[in-house]
Formats: sequence, C-alpha cells, structure tokens
Amino acid sequence: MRLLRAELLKLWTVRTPRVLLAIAALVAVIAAATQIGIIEYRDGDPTLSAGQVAGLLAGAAAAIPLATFIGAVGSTSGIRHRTEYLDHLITPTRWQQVGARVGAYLLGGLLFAGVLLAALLVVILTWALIRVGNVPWSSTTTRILLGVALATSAYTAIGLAVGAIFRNQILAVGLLGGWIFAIEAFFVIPLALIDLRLTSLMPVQAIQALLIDDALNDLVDEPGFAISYGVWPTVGIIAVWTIGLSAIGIWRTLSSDIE
Amino acid sequence: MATLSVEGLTKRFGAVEAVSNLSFTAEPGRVTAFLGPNGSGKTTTLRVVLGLAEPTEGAALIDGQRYQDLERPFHTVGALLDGGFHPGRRARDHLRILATAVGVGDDRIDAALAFSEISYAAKRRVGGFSTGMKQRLGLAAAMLTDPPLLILDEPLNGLDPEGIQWLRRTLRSLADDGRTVLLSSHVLAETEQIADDVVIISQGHLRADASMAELARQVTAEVRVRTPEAGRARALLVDNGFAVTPGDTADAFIVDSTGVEVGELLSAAGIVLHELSPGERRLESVYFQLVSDLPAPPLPAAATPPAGPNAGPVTEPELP
Repeated sequence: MRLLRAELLKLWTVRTPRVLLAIAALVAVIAAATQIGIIEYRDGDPTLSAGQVAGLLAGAAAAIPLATFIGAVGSTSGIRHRTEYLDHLITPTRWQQVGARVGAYLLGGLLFAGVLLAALLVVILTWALIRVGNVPWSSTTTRILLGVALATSAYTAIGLAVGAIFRNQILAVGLLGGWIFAIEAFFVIPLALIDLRLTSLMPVQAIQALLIDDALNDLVDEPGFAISYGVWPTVGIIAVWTIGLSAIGIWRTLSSDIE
Repeated sequence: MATLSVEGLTKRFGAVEAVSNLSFTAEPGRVTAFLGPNGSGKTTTLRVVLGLAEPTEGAALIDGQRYQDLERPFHTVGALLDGGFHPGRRARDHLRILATAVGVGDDRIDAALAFSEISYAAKRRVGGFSTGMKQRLGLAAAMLTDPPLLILDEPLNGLDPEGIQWLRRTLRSLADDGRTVLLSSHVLAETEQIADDVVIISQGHLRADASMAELARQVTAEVRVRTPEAGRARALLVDNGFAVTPGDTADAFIVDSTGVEVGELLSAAGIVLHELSPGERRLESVYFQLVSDLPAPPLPAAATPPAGPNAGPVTEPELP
C-alpha cells in the first residue's frame, strides 16, 4: 500500500500528467460543444434523444488517447532521470515495484476518465437541462460511461507497457503517437476493404469502436452495418492487447538492469 | 552500527572485468574513502553493494547480509548515487515520495531538509537546483531514515568550497556518531582531510587498503636545496648515502631526506644555503603511483592485500 501511494504521489507531483489531463478535458469539451453546435444548427426540434446524449459522451473518444502518454512518460521517466535506483533501494524486490506502478497507473487512468467525464457531463447536462429541462438517459449512455473508463485505463496501461518495453521516453512517446494517429491506419485500410469489423482487431480501432459503435449504428441506417463484433468481443480484443503488451513490458522491466 | 564488507568481489560485463577479486571493509565510526580514477570500478562496486547489480563472484555484505536480504534496507543504508531526481518535482515532494514508500513521517522530511541546510529550497523544483544543491538533496534523501551506514558516490562533485567544507564537517560528525561512512572519489586531495581509512582501486584491482595515517607514512621525505656550491654539496650528500636528483635550475637539486638531516650536514661542511624547502612529493603522488595506467598485475594469493583498515600497512603490488 505504501508503494502504491508513493507511485501515485510520483504521478501527481510532476506537471506532465496534469497538463495532459487539462488538454484532454479541453479537447473532450470542445468535441462535445462542437456536436452541440451542430445539433442546434441542424435541428430546430426542441426534443433531445438519449442517443444524442450518448453520442455527446462518446465525444470523449477524441481525448482518451492522450492517457497513453501519461503511462509512457511515467514508465520511462525513472530511466531518463535515473530515479529507478531509489525504487530499488526502498524495495529490492522488483515485482513489488512493478505491481505498485501498474496499480497506480490503472488508478490514474480511472481518475483521468473521471475528470474527462465530469467535464463533459457539466457541459452536456447544463445544455440538456436548458434545452429540454431533463436529461434523456439509456443503457447505451451508461455503457459509454463505463467504456470511457475502460478505454482510458487500457490506453494508460498500453502506454506504461510500451514505455517499459522501449525504455526510451522520446522513442516510446513518438511510437505511440505515430501508431495512434498514423501507423495503425495502414493496417486498418486493407482490413476494412475485406470486412469493416476486422478493423476492430487493431488496438486503437477496438477502443474507438467500444465508444462510437452505437452512435455510428444510429447514424448509418443500413442493415448489417457494424464496425465491431459487439461489445464483449471488443472488450476481449482490448484486454488481449493490454494484457499482452503489459506482460512483455513487465518481463522487460524485470530482466533489465536498474538505472 | 553497521559494517560493510566486500569479499572477493568480481564483476564482469561480458569479456570486460570491471572489478577483480576486491576485498575491503568499512567500519562503524570511521569515514572510508573509496578512491580510484574514473572507470576504475568504484561505481560498479557500490552498485553491487546496493544490490543494483549482481556480482559475478564474491559478495558485498552489510552486517553479514546482502542488501536485498536486509529486513529494512532503506533504514539500514542511506545511499547517494549519480542522478536520482526528476527535474520537474519539488524538493520536498521528492522526499515525500521516499518517506511515503518507507513509512516515515513528515517530521523526518523536515529533519532531513534541515540537516542538509536546504529547507529554504523545499518548495523549489529540482530542475532549478545547482549541482551542489542536488548533492545536498541527495544527502537529505540518504539521511531520511537516519541510517547507520552511508554510501556516497562522488558526493563532493560540483560542490563549491563552502559546500565541500560543509560536507567534510557533516561526514566527520556522522562518523563520530558511530555511523559507517563510505564515500567514493577520484581525487585523493578531496578526501584526505576527512577520511580515516582509504581503499584505492585501479582497473578493478585493489591497490591499497589502509588507514590514512598508514598511507601518509608512505610519503618519502623530500627537500629542495639551492646553493651557490651545488657541485660540492651534491657530492657531499651522495658520499653520505643520500639519493640526489637534479633540480629545475643549475644551482638546485632534490634530496630524498628531511630538511634537518640535509641542513645539518651541509652546515657542518660550511656550505652556504639559499634555499632548503620541502619537496613537492605529497600523498597525492603516492595515490597517482598506485593508480598509474600501467597494466594491472594479477594479484597472487600471497600478495592479496589484507582486508580491513587495520589489517596492516599499505600493500603496493609490484608494477612491471
């Protein structure tokens, strides 16, 4: 428990996670506000559907990938600034250090999700109450809330794992940014040409699908249209990527010299 | 009270032998200087002592146990190695993280900051610290649990003269309180004023393990003589068995002896002296001789220097 608290303190006492969190909250709020603007412009109808509220919450998807950089920066800063040896001096058993770090970053990911959702809900609820006097809610809305929490934790854990695997901060951050915003697209395009659902086998697409699947299905009124194999298979795909990369990251950490 | 003993320690990195069959002891109540040029194996040895690297052979034990086997390692050993700070973190937060992990309270953080005399900078980010302030913060971290053994790697690096004086006083006082202090350095002059014992290594081999007083006794007395009758004086001294070497000017030369002996002999012969001063050979020259770049000879078992500061005189392996 002491190690977990110390890892959380490490996370909170440097600026990078807080700056990333602020940027993510801003991006999510701007994404939601843009959607609200589009709804207001296109729809003179004063009603508001539960699907629209769910769609607004799914706007958090634009900001969630930033969580991965918190993990990557966190797992490489000990090597970059040569603070890793202090962890070892406190607890020479490395698996305890690794366990505390993974736990702290999963909690950090949930906190990240909580702040994002809180910022979004303030905007969405305020607008909904002003527009229609109530907030239409459905099981999809609840699922998206849980999806944001799961996706953020997965992104944080993947960032932590990639940082642990490559052990170089610039390389890890560059690789994650490149993968999320460009490289995965090279794999997704040929998969999409075969079957759109195959794209959800890729990590970023799976996480996005978890959040925007329903919203897209509502938008594309076409029988048989689907961007994933359904909620639980998609959760399974995310779990395989997250656990697989984490296992490699943990093995790499346990087998590397202490800096 | 904690005793550190390094026993037959060898550490290889592939084909490179960084440390070879090294043995020495650091005792409670004494400051032990661990000296050697850059790349001589000092940091590797300290990393093995702290369990940061596994020895290839031998062991480094603290009160008979490896660091990683100690029940409360951070409460037993305080260590200062290179680095160890996130530049974006405030000094107090750095200590707070360590204190949280080892379960000591805020009072120890305040005490450690006051001990290192950097309480005024507690809320400043470490990235803005001078090297000397970082060294002080590192020492505060090492003292957080008030441990009986301190291991400091090059703690005098980057300190200004005032900082060096402060550290010398501080380490002396910690040793006087009964703590074991082991500090590494590549400059003997930095440590000769505070160290009780000295361990010198070069190219991974032990060159000397002795008390500072014993090492000082290795310094041969040497005087510089300047006289208008240099030829006659040199001949007289050589005839009386003194070793004489030429000086930097025609009327000067160096004699391996004391000023008293040389002065009395030349005075008795009626030779006028213009100068009779101590030569430049100091403790530092003994150190340089010990760590010279000549290939390190393998130390046969019989010539292996005895471990421990009180084990005997300086062992000087024969250099080829």
